[in-house]
Amino acid sequence: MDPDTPVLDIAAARPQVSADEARAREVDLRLMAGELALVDARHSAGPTWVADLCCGLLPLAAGSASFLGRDWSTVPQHYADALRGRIGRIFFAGSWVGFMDVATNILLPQLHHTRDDPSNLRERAIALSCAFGLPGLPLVRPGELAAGDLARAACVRAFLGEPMLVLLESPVQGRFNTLLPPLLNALAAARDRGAAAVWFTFSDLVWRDPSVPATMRLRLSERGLVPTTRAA
Amino acid sequence: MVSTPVVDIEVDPLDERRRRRRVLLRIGIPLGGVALMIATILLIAFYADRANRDGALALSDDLLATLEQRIGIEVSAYLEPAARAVRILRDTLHDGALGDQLPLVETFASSLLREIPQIANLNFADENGNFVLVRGGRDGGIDVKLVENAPGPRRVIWIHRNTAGDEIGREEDPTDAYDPRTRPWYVGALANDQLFWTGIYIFFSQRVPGITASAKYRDASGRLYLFGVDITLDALSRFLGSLEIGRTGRAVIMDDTGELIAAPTGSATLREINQEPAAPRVDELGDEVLTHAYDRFRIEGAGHRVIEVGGHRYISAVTPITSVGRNWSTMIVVPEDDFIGFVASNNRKALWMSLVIVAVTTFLASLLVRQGLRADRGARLLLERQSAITRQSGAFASLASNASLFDPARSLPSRTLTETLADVTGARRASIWTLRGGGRILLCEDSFDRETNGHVEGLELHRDELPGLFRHLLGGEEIEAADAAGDRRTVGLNRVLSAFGSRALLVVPVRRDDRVVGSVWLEDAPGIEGSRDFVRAVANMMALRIADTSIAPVAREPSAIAKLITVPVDVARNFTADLRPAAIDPSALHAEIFPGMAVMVLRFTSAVAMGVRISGIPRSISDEIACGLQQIATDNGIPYLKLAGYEIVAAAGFQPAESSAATVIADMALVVRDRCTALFEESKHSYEFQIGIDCSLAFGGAVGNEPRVFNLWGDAVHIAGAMAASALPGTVQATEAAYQRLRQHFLFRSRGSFYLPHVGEARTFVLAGRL
Repeated sequence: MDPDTPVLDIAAARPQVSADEARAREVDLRLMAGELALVDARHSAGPTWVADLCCGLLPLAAGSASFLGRDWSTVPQHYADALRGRIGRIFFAGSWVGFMDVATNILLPQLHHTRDDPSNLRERAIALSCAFGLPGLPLVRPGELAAGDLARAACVRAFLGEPMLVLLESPVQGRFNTLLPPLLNALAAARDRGAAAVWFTFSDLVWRDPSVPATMRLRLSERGLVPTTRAA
Repeated sequence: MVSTPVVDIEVDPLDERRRRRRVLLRIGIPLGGVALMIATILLIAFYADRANRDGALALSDDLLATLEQRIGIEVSAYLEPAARAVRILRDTLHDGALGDQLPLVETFASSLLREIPQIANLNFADENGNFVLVRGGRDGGIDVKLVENAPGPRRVIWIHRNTAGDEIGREEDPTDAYDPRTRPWYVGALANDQLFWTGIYIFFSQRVPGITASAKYRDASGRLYLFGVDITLDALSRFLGSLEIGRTGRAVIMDDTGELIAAPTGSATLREINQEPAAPRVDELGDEVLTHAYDRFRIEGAGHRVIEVGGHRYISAVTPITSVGRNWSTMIVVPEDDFIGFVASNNRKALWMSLVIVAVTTFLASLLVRQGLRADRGARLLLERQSAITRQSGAFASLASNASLFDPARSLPSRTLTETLADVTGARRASIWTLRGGGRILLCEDSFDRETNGHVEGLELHRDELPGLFRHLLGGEEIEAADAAGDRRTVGLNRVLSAFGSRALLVVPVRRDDRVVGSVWLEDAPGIEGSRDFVRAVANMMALRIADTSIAPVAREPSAIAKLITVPVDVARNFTADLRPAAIDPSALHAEIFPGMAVMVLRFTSAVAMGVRISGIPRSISDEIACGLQQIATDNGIPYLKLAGYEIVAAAGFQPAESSAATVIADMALVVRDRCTALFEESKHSYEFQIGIDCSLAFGGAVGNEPRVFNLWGDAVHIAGAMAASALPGTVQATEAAYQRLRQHFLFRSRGSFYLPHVGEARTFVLAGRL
């Protein structure tokens, strides 16, 4: 990829809204390789729609959204799916497939998008699991895993496959001490590799933590994403 | 690393779509043209075939009509004289008894037999059964059969006359029981007032098939006379056989009941009924085509039609013969191909000739496709070349603006050069090497990897290791190997290249004063042709920098990474994964094996927290904990306790019969957990510790010089460490093995089932307390 091409480029994007949802929300977000945008979502209904917008899952009423230089609105569906395969995401709602074990949940996106040897994928997933403080790759169903371990597994799923964009919807969720260090390590490795990241947080601790190496800070409000500073 | 994505997102989908559309047009238009031409030719061929076929069929209809007319005329000409003869006989011999007019009958009959050769017999009869038959005799004479039935006794006399009319013989035949009143011609004529034609029957005297035309006459006294003329059908059959209807067509004459009157095969078609030969019906001939034509005639009536039998098409024509006979018809069947076969044959030939045109057109279309694709490829290459030239120009400008790059005094000048080389050529790795030690050593000044964006330097290659490479390089030869592992010039170099995953290699020597002083390497460079001159130019520029340094002897020690690469490294044995109790040979070990070892690992996660001072006590947390552990170990007889860095390892179970080792270690873990919790809470820190325990195999032995130190290692230590590393802060995580040994006395909470590295699937538990 051309180093001058932004990883994520959302310009004056306004998602289509239904008639009863008359709020005019606009997003401007341009992330180059290695950049991390920390988004304060404390005063919003939730960051999922922005993350969906980044993933090209929301049709736009105006503006444009592109990932790795490819406009979501112009690429064919199969190509858009492949592009989404290069996005790692921690979902605010968890988004686990309940009837599959957590290991399959973690490996499934990579098994779908790549032809990599499953055993290699599993080894990488195990290494990531250990890095995030799990004893290994969880083999139980999501409902059988403790909430903290499930949050760790979500991190493993997001960072497996060396994504070019990482979308973190409140990844720490109160596990500041245990999850933040490995998450920052994984983020640092991803950014060194050329990935960009968007971190949506509801936590004042995270927002004010100097160890979070954000290159830009934004606030998610009713109007959309607004640039801000740490003190704000 | 995503090595093999299902969809390559590096390719622009819009470009790809445009490229596919262009290729489709390049290929589709010529091929579509050829397809259109083939379709047009086929359409024309089909139309021509239909038109020619219809024309030929129309012509064949005319031909058949003519043929039918001819048959009708021939039949009439054959039978009409006989009919006229009957009428003349009836009009001439209507007065008097037969016997009275016998001389006249004979004279008249003799004349008719001579003039009308198809007449076989002439018959005269009255209602009393008296009968005269005249037929041709020997040597042009006539034979007269006279049956005198009444009045008087019955006599049958044969009279033979020569051509002059003189009687040359006479005999009676008392055995002849012929009665004309029973014959078909008599019965038929009696029932009709007009001329009557019989069907085919066998003549009594000659025993041959034929037909008879007969008529009756009743005189003024009411006496009945009947006259008949027998006609054999051999001549008619011969005539039908002589007709040429197409190549294999045939014609028959039949009556309205389907009974055959005449056929090309003549009397050969006769069948036997009551041991008497009789004419067959058309559908009894065993000729499927005639049967089919006759069936269609019965359904649809007379006329021309095309029938299909056995997959072949036939033309059938049935036409009534009105002038003679009794509702007779001619039926002609002829294969359609006999008339229109030439049409199909000509069309086939025309089609083959058209195929030649199609082949030529296809060839031209393929040339067009090839030319189009080549033009596209050429245009693409041109664009790439232009892009490469632009990049190279930019690179030259960049290099030229920084002349100090080639200053030997600069310590790290090559990084920019290798990055520029990799960027311009698209190579996976670009390296700059200098020859040192009198040409015995190649030293890597810098190597840039585009994928990892990293630089490596200091790698050394020795002439003794790679004599082939050095020989070619010192000879000033440019080395280009698509597969470096398989190229004799670079054999052995694969050990270095494969470590980076490279396959292709281009080595451009750096010369100064006709002497090679170094080289520029490019690994896995795509389309090097367009960049070769640039690489050579950079190599020439590098000569400025390398020349001086190459003279100097090798002074520096190889870097750590160089050592790693140049020295063959044995792959570390995975002790944990391989070790099995059954596979251990104690005699090969100078260490003790402890199969039932219980190990606890306490791990501090924060270096700061370890050193935090506890209020009121002049000690750090780690010191306080270590003291506590020493006390616990002493109290419980735990023999092994070690602190190393941020980990404390405690172990028990050195004696085979020591069944309480696991319990002791678990108790210790709980005490330590509680103590640590209290200390960290007291110091207002979060729980910066993790504890793991395992019960499995371990090795141990004294190591080092005096005082020797006892060291413990193996699965138990390793897995307990892994359990500690992945334990939730402030908790004790135990393996399934530990759980199995301790569950009777301790309370555990399952954490879940995990796939552990080098172990496989296993459950882990959090030790909650003692029961």
